[in-house]
Amino acid sequence: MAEYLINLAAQAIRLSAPILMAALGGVYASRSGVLNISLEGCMLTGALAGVIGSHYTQSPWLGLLLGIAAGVFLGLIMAVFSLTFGANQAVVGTGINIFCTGITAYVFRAIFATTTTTVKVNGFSPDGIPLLRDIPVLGVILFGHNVLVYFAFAMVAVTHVFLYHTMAGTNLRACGENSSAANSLGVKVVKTRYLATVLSSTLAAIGGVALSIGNINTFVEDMSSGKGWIALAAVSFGRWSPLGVLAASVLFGLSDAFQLRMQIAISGAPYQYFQMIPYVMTIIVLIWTGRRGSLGPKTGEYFEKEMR
Amino acid sequence: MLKLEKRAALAGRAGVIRSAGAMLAAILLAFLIAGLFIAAIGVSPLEAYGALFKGAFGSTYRLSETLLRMTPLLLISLGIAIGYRTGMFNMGGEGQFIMGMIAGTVVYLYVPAGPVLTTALAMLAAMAAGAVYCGFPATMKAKFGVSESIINIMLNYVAALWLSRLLNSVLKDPNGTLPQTAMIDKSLYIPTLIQGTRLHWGFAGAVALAAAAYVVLFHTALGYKFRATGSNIHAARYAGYDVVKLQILAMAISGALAGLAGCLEIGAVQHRLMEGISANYGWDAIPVALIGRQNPLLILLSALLFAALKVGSNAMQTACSVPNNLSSVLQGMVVLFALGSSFFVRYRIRYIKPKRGEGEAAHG
Repeated sequence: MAEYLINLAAQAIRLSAPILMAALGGVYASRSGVLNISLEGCMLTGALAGVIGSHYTQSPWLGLLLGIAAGVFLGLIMAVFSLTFGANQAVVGTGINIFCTGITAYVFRAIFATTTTTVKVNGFSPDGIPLLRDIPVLGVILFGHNVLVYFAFAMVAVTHVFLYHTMAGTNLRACGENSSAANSLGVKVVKTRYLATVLSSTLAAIGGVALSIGNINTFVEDMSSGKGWIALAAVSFGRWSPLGVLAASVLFGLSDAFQLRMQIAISGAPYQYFQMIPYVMTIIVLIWTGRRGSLGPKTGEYFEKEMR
Repeated sequence: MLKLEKRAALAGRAGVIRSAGAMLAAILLAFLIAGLFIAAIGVSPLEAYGALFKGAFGSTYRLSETLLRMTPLLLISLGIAIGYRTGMFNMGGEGQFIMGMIAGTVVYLYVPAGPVLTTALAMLAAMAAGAVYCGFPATMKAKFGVSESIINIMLNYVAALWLSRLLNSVLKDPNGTLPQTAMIDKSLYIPTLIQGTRLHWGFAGAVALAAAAYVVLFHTALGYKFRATGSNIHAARYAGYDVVKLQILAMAISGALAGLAGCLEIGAVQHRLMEGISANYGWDAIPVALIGRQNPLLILLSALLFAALKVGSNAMQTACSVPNNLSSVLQGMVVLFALGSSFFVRYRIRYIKPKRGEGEAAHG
């Protein structure tokens, strides 16, 4: 039983990393006043980019690099259309999501359709941190993961310090709280939002890389399966703060680890019900958050320079 | 240096022509770029697009198949438009479509009340299922401000999983091994519109509903209230409208239309419920509504375009082995480029010669 719980906790940590990364991206975007619902598409694209990069170079690091490039590209599209063209941010995000669903499946089939076996590529080593991983109990739970998991957790600290203890972070939050006031104080609202948007899409794409070459080392069509949306739920459940988002992501990771284990533990069980758990839990958590009446930063509004 | 400049708004017909031209340019640009993707895998784009066009419109039968696929797209996206106009983004069409199919199939299979009554009950059950499935997130949004989009998307996954569960348990055909239900009785099939094709009366009904949705949205008091709520919820509340009720009602209608589409898919096309039956209609309807600018009459056109894309891309895959997912690539690009082009309807980029010293000032 103890071993079961230890392994469950370790798996929860590992599965929470992709959601955490995307959710941190969501924090940057929404804190700056941008509603970035393209996280799902960015994740999916990052997952494929990681596999392609690793497939051609045998190096997961170059896979990560390609994933980052994809995230920057998608973030720029989001930024140009919503911040420069002033289009409805939900619609732009939807367009990007649809495009990503199509392009990932298209490219995956175009590159790998000839091979009949499932594509396996080199992923990040799950060996963890030497010495620390040998600590009983905690070693397995906390120190037996691949580097992307640590990156995600480090980003929580970085984001926290940035948002609450630097001038740039304060300015970024000001753009989301009251854009015209920020503007009159000399904060470049559009530029700040550009950076936040690109960063948010990039983090989501890195989350996607963690999903593919940080976990199962292959790509499956539509493999993000709503995780980008769950990340958005984690953002509001975590009340737009990095630490809150960390707690929310671990909770979602735990529900995912739990349902995966239930599927294996009870053979012939109605596994579909287990698979529903993360989705149902997201809905419950969202409604619970909403009932507490948290509004968060104002997102989705177009900031026109002439408005000043 | 380059400078953005607001264009003078064009009134009346000229404005419409300019918007239509911009939309056409967006569609062409999307096809052009997708052509590069086709060329990238070593297939001639012209050949592929030829196969796509022939696949969608090449014969009476192909055209009838396109109109067949257009039916659920049209119904679901009409619902999305009604919700959107009321300030709600219904991304849960897929789940509502599936719930409609489940409810419809259960009635078709287990309520023997004669063809007319059973069909009517199946449709009602499907619409009720869709309405509830969409009404729930709408209620959460209208009452507590919870994102209806996220709940709806979660519900899409839940519906697909539940369908899979049902097909492997209580609804599974007892005389078969596959995860699918028994066929519904032949007397319950919705009749075809044109002999020798699969095109059914549901298509005519969907087109009529598009007209009805247009009238309701733009020429009735209810539609006015919907649109007032969508364009400025505070003003609508101030005017004394019960915005919570209006938003929930609009979304219930939205879900009911998706549910109805599901029932038609069973009664007229598939005649049984099986795994993978939803074929992403609910997801595909979102760009249809967006491209149709949430206007039922324009949605008729965009539903036709995207149905043709859906049917044609399958033909293209068979003929030239270009993956049929190209249709989603095109859909996404058309949505984005349409947003871009409508920006250039409002603005133009001018090249202005910088005067001495002005260049630096612009950076400051």
